[in-house]
Amino acid sequence: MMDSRGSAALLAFFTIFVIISSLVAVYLFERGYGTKLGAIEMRIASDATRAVLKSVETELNQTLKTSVEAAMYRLGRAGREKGEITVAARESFNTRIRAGWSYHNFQSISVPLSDENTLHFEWLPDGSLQATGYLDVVVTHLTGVKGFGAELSSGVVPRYGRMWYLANRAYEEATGGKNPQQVEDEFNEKYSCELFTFSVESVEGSVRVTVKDDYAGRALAG
Amino acid sequence: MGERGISDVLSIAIMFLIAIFSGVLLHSYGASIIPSANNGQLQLKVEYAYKVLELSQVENSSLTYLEAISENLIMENIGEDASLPGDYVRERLDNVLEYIRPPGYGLVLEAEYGGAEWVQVSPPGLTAENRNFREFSGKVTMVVAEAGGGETSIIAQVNVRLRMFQVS
Repeated sequence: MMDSRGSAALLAFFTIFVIISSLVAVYLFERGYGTKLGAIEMRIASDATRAVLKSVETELNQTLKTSVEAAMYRLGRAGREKGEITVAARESFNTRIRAGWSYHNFQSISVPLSDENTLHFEWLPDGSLQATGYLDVVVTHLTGVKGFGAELSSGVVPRYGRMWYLANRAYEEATGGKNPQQVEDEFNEKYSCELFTFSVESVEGSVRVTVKDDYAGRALAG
Repeated sequence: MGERGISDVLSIAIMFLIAIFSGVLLHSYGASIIPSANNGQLQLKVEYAYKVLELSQVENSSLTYLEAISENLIMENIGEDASLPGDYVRERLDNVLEYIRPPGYGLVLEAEYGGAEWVQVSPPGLTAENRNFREFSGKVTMVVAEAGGGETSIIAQVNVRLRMFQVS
């Protein structure tokens, strides 16, 4: 009987010991787990923020490139000057920015409108356009992680400046008394090495000049 | 007095079982951090896969895969031909998705613009229903000059979503 009571006491003591030490271990695990989980969550949030920031940057550059191309195509058909291209491109670009961004798990995505200080257009010697700039984009994740800044850089291949100049020259010659067909043949011969194709035609008493940049694809100036 | 009875053996056996049981419980509690880390890795993988599609170009067309898909959807709405035919882009994209998807995982690419949709699953033939996904979504914006010499440009935003799921 003495032995049995002694074993029961020992078992009870051991069980209490195991419960207490398990509670201590759980508490320590919880603390360690919480810290590690917090660190992992912050890393995931940082990665997601970086990914979203890069995605916004890529989209801004796509928008910028297609804005310039669309402006060249649209205004080129009316034979508008180079300066008008950059104004129209900036307008389209800012229209996209005004529409805003929203991503799941993100508190806010702030993209300021572009102006002369943040987006700069430069006409290159071959008549193409280079747009560069930097926007103070701020992307804020729900956990508070923030990402800053978007670099803008887009080179647009259609050589609008050159096309505009050559189209005007062809127009002057065709309206200066030369036969439109002759002007077309001469220009096609002279500038074929630059991969330009000219079409000069007389339509209802006026002359229409179309220049195609074969290197860049479909782009027109008239 | 010094002899051990059956109750002592039972006590030791129960103590041993309690120790083993509590050890297993504590271990499983401590190891529960692993799924969180795994989820984080999967999220990263789907983000990288999206970035690959955002940057890599279809052959030498100067259009990225997401741009080519977006152009197809936009042109479908406008009623004009895209510079790269949809079937060709789909075929090339199949190869890319097959290449970038991690072993044991599938990818679903979905794009939508003005009612037109593009859905592509890799590996082909799998259905993506009733699965657990990690996903990343974004937009592709293209500015298009209006046909017929209109005064304004169309600013088209295509919603794109890439989802990754476990193939089992």
